[in-house]
Amino acid sequence: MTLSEVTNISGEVGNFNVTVKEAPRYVDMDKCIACGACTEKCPKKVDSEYDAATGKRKAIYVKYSQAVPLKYQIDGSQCLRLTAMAKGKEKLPCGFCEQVCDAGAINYNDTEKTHEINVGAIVMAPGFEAYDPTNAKVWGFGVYPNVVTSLQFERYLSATGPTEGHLVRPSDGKKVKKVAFLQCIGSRDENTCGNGYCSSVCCMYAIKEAVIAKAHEPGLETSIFYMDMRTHGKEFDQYMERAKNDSGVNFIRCRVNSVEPQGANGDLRLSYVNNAGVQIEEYFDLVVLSVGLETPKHVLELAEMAGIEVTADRFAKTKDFTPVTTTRDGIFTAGAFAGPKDIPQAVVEGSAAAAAVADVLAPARNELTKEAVFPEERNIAGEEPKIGVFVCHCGSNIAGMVDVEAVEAYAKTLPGVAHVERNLFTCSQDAQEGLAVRIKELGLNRVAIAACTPRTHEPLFRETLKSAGLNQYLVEMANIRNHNSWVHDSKEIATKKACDLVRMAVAKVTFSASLAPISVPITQTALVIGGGVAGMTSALNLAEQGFVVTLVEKSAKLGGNALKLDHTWSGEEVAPQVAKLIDQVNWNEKITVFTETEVSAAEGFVGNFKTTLKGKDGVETVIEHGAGVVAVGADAYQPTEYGYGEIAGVVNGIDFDSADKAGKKNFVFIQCVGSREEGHMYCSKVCCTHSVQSAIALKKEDPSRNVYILYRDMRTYAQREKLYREARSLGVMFINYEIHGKPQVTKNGDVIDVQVIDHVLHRPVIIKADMVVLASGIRPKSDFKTLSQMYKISLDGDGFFQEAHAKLRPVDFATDGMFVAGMAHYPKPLEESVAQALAASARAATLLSKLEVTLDAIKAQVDSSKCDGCALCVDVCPYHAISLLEVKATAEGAAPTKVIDVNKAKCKGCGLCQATCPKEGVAVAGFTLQQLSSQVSAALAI
Amino acid sequence: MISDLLEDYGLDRGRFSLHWVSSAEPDKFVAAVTETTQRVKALGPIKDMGVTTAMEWLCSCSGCEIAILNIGEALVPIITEALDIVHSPVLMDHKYFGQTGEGVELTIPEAVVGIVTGGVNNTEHEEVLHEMRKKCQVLIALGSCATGGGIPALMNGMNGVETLQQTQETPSTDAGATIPTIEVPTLLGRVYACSEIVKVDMELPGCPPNPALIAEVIVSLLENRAPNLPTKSVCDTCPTRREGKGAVTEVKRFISNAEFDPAQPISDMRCLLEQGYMCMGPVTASGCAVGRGAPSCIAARVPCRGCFGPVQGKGNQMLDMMNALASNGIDYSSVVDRRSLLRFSGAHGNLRPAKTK
Amino acid sequence: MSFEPKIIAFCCNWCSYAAADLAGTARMQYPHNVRIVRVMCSGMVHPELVMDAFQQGADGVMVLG
Ligand SMILES: Cc1cc2nc3c(=O)[nH]c(=O)nc-3n(C[C@H](O)[C@H](O)[C@H](O)COP(=O)(O)OP(=O)(O)OC[C@H]3O[C@@H](n4cnc5c(N)ncnc54)[C@H](O)[C@@H]3O)c2cc1C
Ligand code: SF4
Ligand code: SF4
Ligand code: SF4
Ligand code: SF4
Ligand code: SF4
Repeated sequence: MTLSEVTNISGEVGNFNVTVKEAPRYVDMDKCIACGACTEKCPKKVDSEYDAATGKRKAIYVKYSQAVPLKYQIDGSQCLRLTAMAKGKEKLPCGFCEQVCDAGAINYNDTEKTHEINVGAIVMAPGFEAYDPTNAKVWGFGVYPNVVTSLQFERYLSATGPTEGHLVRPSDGKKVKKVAFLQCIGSRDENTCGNGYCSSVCCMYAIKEAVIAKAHEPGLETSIFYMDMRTHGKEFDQYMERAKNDSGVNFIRCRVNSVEPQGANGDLRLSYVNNAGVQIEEYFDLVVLSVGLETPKHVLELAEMAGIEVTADRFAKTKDFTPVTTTRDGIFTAGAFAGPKDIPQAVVEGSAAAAAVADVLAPARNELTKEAVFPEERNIAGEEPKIGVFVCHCGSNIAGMVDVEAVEAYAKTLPGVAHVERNLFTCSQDAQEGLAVRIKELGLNRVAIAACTPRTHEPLFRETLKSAGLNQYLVEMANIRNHNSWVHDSKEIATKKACDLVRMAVAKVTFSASLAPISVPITQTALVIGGGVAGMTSALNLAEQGFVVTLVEKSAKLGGNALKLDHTWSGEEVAPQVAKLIDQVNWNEKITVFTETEVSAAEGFVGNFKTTLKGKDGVETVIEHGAGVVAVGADAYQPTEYGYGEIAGVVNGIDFDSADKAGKKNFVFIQCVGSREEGHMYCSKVCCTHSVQSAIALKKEDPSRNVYILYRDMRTYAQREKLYREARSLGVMFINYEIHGKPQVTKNGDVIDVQVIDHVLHRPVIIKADMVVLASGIRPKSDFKTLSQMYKISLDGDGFFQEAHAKLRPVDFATDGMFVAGMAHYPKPLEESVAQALAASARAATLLSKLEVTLDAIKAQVDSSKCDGCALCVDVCPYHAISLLEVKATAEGAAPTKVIDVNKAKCKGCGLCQATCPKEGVAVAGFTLQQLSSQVSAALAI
Repeated sequence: MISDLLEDYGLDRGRFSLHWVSSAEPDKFVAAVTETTQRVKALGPIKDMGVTTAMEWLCSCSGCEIAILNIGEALVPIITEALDIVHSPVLMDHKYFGQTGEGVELTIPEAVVGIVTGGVNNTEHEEVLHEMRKKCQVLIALGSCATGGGIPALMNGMNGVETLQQTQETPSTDAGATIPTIEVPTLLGRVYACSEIVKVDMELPGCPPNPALIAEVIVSLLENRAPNLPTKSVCDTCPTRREGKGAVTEVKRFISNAEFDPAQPISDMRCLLEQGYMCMGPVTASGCAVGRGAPSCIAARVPCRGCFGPVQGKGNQMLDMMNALASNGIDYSSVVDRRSLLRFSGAHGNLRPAKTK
Repeated sequence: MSFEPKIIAFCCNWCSYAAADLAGTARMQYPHNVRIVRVMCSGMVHPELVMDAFQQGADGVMVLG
């Protein structure tokens, strides 16, 4: 449901009643084909929300070009006709869109609808709003045209944006030469905006925008003004280093408090203290405000109506061991509403919420799913090609630029073509039915459709073929819309190109063959490797969803690193929670726990893994499982610097928690020990918060203590910022140091001397400390490599496990059926480990809930008459789908030969093998060398 | 008596019959003719002295002819009974322009089978090849030079004019030397495979070709069936142990021996490509192994040189090999002089003068 | 008439082919000389295909990942 809003929630877990108000769209979703003809004709221009008020849209519009569903809508408050109708006018103006819509999708009489929905659980992911700096005044936003927000700036950089990707000043269209980014606008700032928290994402996006802008406009100068660069995410620090060293983005640690205009032409003046401590005034063409995230007012109202509590920072309240569960039973949350966060973490939480919901709804699974039935498939082997060509007008989208009749006439002349037909909209319901009828009555055995893109429409036409009893892979599309009529403006050229494209599609489909669907059975059990908080959470959730789980732990005890932690950042006690978790795991009858056990061998593929476990006693157990979760955690770094292990009183952050501090007065924390430096260019994410928490405890215990934290960037991200604030107000001293000026720690009698360069005083200072606490980082374990090889899952450059896609598949491995959770993926605090563990079990459960998985038939096929087992392709396959088989010689006395075998479940159809083989020994079905070269020949035929 | 003599000449006695028919006995005549015709039909055509065969050598080294001799004992019945060699400059004197030079056009006698070795490098080769095509019913290109240009086609990788000037006109040769123009057929500029000039009915590559396969081709022709020739690559019959090429990062020159245990069979040795040597096996047509167990080079524990040319006659040995190396993450630039991988298949436009940077 | 080259472009279904689709949605105009052959991954394109295209008269070949 889109354009819909929840207006009421009643009932309880398992039986909620939700009232949804659906606003009128005035466009019939089933009919709209997103051609955009209406928008072109609409005379009413409106500021675009998506272009962050940098551009215009029309009253009939689609919010952004990648929207799903890609359907248009009319803004009732702007449309000339609708506003007139609302006023009860007799003579109605405009109506252009109705006239131009060939699909007949416009309905001015659409009305608001109310739906009552009964659900078992609710996930609230209403997201965030960007902070609006207009009212704050100080940065001149809304006053000086050359002050823009980061969202607006992003649109400027986009080719689909208001300036088509050209970087010019809004004031006078002058080419931009210097840009300043001001960080923490609307974040970490209680005075101006009341948002005390850190928005977590702005540092990273500012760097990204600066780098992209520089790539866009060579010679552009970009400066980022910041307090702390919070690039604590996976591979973020590396990105920042590259921005600094390779792209030449300037980073200036200074909060700029105001923006002043200079002259009348739009130049802007910033005054700041530079890294050398000198007061500077500098002029910029453009100032970008890196605005933070905040929870919109209407979401707070929704929260109140739903009866869930929010934090002081106005985000949904959750607990660290149940990070996606709100304060009301049965209502879950995910994304930025549960605290400011970036896309990967939001996606993780989305899956985590799904797992939490699944846990609640486990008994009712699949009650509402149905399956479609298709007629038996016709065997076309040996038949001469009888190709049906269907040329689509797509309303006027194609027919407006292409002479479709000429294309039709031309298609008739092509070899193998038995039937040609034109449709107004080939994808419409009736055209689809017509297509099926035509296939049956004319006995067509292949279909070419000249219309739009196969990326959106091929699945539809495949279904149509299936319904006509033809194998679904016997269709080929010629993209005469997106690649032709929409991008050329000469009818002659577009028509000629359309003919070429049709010829190519016909040539290819001539060589298409029926492909049998591939399905692999699924063993409906899971293996979880690692018994830390992440592993246990994942195992427990899967077990509660009804799956049998094996949990393997290397040490003698469950719990992992969490056993050494006292409190989470929000102050929850860790020990009782971990104890409870261990208890639940041990008592769950679906979970079998192996302690002092390791994985010694693994084979198989999605749905069908076989893992050998080896206990300390050498006893081996073989487990068959359909999915696997890698939650092997990480190690605490054992420092070799700062006199650790040599000077008494130099301890690491974890040991410090339980150390005896009685009678000690002076404490120095050193941050980033073993993190964020050559060879380990990543942030360990937990240590800043940990140190700040320890410092607060020290001060609270005895306010007369002197506590210093020597840091590079304080990364108390998101709502942790409140701890940083608290520490400062308690008098904890924060001193910044740079990587090239690390503190020096020396023993000086009973005390420890810590020397550091003070950036305010610009000279070295010596602190006499009783204890020095090293915030030592988190390191990947040495045995990750073995595991990665056994399961063919990869590691990233830092040695942690590498997810399939950083943003879109953050818990999946590229190897299907394997998932990652917790610190094994990247250092992270407890609640993020828990969320990722839940996400991993959600993903695993999606797989395990099926008896078999059906795979696309676009896979590599071996031609054993050509493959001679040279093994050139074996290691080329990125998915390790290829193995070499020995074939017994047929003739007496002859030597055995070899041939490859492709595991269809592992193969992704990428065709690397096909491109490697010198002998056409292997080819991806549907994209064989013959098919591709027939297309090439057809393209070049005229 | 005639019947007996016929048998002495290897003909069927049934081919001869005697009939007495008077002018008033047309029915007897018809019966006799019909009966004889049927009998002779049943016997089939007379296999005369053997199938007429013409042999020619173009731009070649006669190694292929030696390979024919290497058929060994089996060759004796082939050339004494099965084949009737009517023309073969390498074996017997036969003039192109008549025995006394009276002719004006190059002529070769008609033959059922024509065997050509060598590629086409000059106008004479071209003329001879055209004549062979004209006179022979079945034309066989024998050896890698005939099928893919062979070693001489390495010159295709160089600028022909410059090369000729270098070899004929430089001061290092006779002072004042010029490129000869008379008595020497003009070069075509590059070396062609036979099939680039005329239609070839059958190709049998190899440098030298495998005698067992030559025999198979001849016998299959005589038996009027398709020859049974290998279609896959050298690796097909290679017994070495293969695990994948992913571990190799660079290609080594073959200046040190491969790793193997001489006491163990070849099947115990790791694939030479997987040992990092430039083994051309995967992109080379097999054939060398027939009758020998393992590919010749591999049997000698040396990497395949690629002498049978590309698999199934298509493909490009250098391109395919470089592609396969690159796909496997092997630094293809570590191959010294990669264009030399076309050493046996430089014709067909595969090897051209490189564009100098 | 000016020279109108024939160019074959092998486009990966997930990346460049999608980009071409989007270029259409955004109605960006570009030269009409390119003919797109869709592949499932740019790694699927055998060098022989590229050579083949040149042999058959293409003036340029692109592989877009
Ligand atoms: C030094 C340090 C300080 C931290 N400070 C904080 C903090 O202040 N606040 C906070 O919220 N979070 C903190 N964390 C993070 C927190 O500990 C984790 O997020 C949380 O414990 C979840 O970890 P996990 O389950 O992913 O891994 P772990 O706790 O490391 O558990 C992994 C488990 O897998 C087992 N294992 C490893 N290899 C294998 C194998 N091959 N086979 C079988 N089992 C195996 C291990 O024995 C271990 O039991 C800190 C972490 C470290 C290291
Ligand atoms: S099938 Fe035809 S009508 Fe439907 S979207 Fe594609 S081009 Fe347009
Ligand atoms: S101390 Fe830890 S959390 Fe803070 S910046 Fe350094 S590595 Fe990151
Ligand atoms: S498919 Fe090709 S590359 Fe792979 S082993 Fe067979 S012949 Fe070699
Ligand atoms: S198509 Fe790709 S995934 Fe499939 S076997 Fe070939 S290389 Fe592997
Ligand atoms: S590459 Fe060479 S050694 Fe390896 S299998 Fe092929 S022929 Fe044998």
